[in-house]
Amino acid sequence: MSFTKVCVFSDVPDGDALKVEKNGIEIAIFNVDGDLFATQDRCTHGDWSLAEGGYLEGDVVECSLHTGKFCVRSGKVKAAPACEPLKIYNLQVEDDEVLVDFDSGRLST
Amino acid sequence: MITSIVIIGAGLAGISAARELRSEGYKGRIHMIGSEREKGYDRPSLSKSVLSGKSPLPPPLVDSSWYKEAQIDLRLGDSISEIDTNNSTVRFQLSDDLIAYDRLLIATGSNPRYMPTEGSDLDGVFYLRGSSDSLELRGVMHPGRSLVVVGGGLIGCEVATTAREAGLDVTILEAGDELLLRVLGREAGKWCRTQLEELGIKVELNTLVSSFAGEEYVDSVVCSDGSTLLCDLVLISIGAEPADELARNAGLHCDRGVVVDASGKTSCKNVFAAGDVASWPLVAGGRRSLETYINSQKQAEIAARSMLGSSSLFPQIPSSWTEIAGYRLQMSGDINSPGELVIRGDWQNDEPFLLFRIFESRIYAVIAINTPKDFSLACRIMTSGIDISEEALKDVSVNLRNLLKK
Repeated sequence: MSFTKVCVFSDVPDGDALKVEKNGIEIAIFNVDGDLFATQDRCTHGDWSLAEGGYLEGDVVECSLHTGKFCVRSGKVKAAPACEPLKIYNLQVEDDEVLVDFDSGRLST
Repeated sequence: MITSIVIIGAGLAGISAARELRSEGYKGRIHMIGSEREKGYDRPSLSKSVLSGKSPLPPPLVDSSWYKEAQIDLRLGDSISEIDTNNSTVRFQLSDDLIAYDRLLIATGSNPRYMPTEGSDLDGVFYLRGSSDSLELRGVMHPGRSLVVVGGGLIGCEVATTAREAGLDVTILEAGDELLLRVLGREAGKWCRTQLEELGIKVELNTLVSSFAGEEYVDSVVCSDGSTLLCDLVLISIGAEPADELARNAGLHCDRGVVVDASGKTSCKNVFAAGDVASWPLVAGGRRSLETYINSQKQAEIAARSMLGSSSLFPQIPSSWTEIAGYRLQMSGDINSPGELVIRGDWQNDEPFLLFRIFESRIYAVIAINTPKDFSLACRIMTSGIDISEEALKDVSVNLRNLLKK
């Protein structure tokens, strides 16, 4: 387990998202009412960045390409056409720093 | 009690409807009939990743296991020859079998508009609709060859981009005085033309084709001004026509598509339509076949719930996306509607930007270029119907999210 600093808290305003990348692994960080969550950035349905091309409402992100929806806490599918869930990643906040474990990608059970 | 639903069409609309029926708890039979041999696949990729070879085949719309899990009686490579609305049955073309329906969904999509011009049946002249069209064209798109694209709409400009990136010499012939006028309007159409030209694509506007020439294989295009353009390949992409013949023959009210209300109901009891074949009411007034992925999917879900008894009405806002000359464009609403055109961002310097159509302080259309996050926000502002000032939209230091919160 190794956490990498990716940004500071204020880089991800409430209701917004930020794309971060390390060694080709792209992760989206979402701010849901002050809590941060990390998922894979690529929509599982189309080739599209969820951090840059999604719309977050509560804890659900809608991909703007085909309007598929995912829960950013669990990665689970909330609306078609997506049918594969997103991988989720471990995230920590230390003081003002946001850290992500890029090796922790997994599907929630 | 509804125990048999027949869906004619196994593409995006057909599959989206079936999926919605199951998710709404419908347990009866679903018969799905598709004229193509392949299971439903992603059609937008045909002019992009499939044509470039990045995707060997178009991605499937659903896992092949889904059909079994969702208990779909799928019949591919066959079609329906007749709908009998008096007896509520459909007849298969090949086997002559009859199936009875309690509810029928027509989701037959659209076909490319054919060009009856002399020589359009020569080898080397292509249309793009099915996966086999894309694979065939890909097979002959060798670097150094020349391709003439007839029609500068979305498909034409997408294919031109892909072919140019593959090293072909590409010319687009457009009858109108700008590319992409219908979907993007004059300003964004002109912007796209500039990007395509920078990629090395030649664009001829105000140009009509009078014939295609060649022995067996096309070798030139003759324009109405008498000029001749040598070429190895031709793509005809002059628009699409709703595949509504079956519905017309069944006596359903059709007008460039099967006329439906905003819940997908046709003029005939228990018969519904969705997707490209449907002429669906618009939020902005009027109706038409929308020919977009997002609207087809939405209409199919609405029609599915309507088949099960919901009567909610959902007029549509046309919404789609495209990839042209390496740029991703997303658009929603009719950019050609009345009002002021407002530009947000520096569009002359390769920066992301948005175009808005504003009328009486409300957004009626938006086009986003390489800025999907702002597109999502702009669409929300548009559908929320909040008043917005031109100055606020133009001011890039104001986050669109803050405008939405107001």
